[in-house]
Amino acid sequence: MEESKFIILPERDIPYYEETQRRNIIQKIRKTKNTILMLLAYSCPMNSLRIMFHRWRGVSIGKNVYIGMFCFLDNLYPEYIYIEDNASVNAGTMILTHFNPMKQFAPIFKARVAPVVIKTKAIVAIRSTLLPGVVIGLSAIVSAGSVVDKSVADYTLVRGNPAKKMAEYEILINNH
Amino acid sequence: MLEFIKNFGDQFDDTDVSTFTPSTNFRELEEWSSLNALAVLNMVGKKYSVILKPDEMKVTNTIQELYDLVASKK
Repeated sequence: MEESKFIILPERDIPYYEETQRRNIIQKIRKTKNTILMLLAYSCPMNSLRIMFHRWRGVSIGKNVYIGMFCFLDNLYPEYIYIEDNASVNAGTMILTHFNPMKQFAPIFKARVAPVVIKTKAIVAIRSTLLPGVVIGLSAIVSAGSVVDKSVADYTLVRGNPAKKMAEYEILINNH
Repeated sequence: MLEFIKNFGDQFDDTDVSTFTPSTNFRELEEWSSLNALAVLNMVGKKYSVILKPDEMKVTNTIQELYDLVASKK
């Protein structure tokens, strides 16, 4: 896959759930700001305004991007979401960048935040879910209602829960 | 032709390999969908260097017809 045009923040460990309950005032203000902007973007009928609100929250968004209504882009770590030029994220999509389980699960799950990158001209269809750390490749398609837990290669269509590769089409696109 | 049928059959997950013969109407297969059509178009492009348009494929119904179409474009 090609390098992204954005500077991608690296994956890192975050506190477990119990520890996050002792946030300081700055973190609380930040979360409140993110939530208010998220709700504005969530229900705003105009794409340009939705993108503006998401950018204010810290999401990296390229040119000519479409983000549908009722999209939930991670509330705590929106700065780990990167949407490149001409990509399309359709209505009801949920993009998660962090996972902080309760401490009792520490032996089996690591609390972490990881970047989600949607590359140029990729399409994430309606009501899909992208889990932390996935990269949606160049011109890839995530079919409606899919749950993506692994990165999707360029020019690949995935579908289902968990999303599985259904078809490739690089040769069809690049020869037309 | 046998190789083409094998390659065609590889694009299906659940359909039995013995189902595929030159006279098989692939549009009547239970598993057939637009995704299989995309996979077949990609397979034809990769293995036979023939780029078919979806509209060109629409006129074919059997594997033999599709094979003839690919052969005519080679």
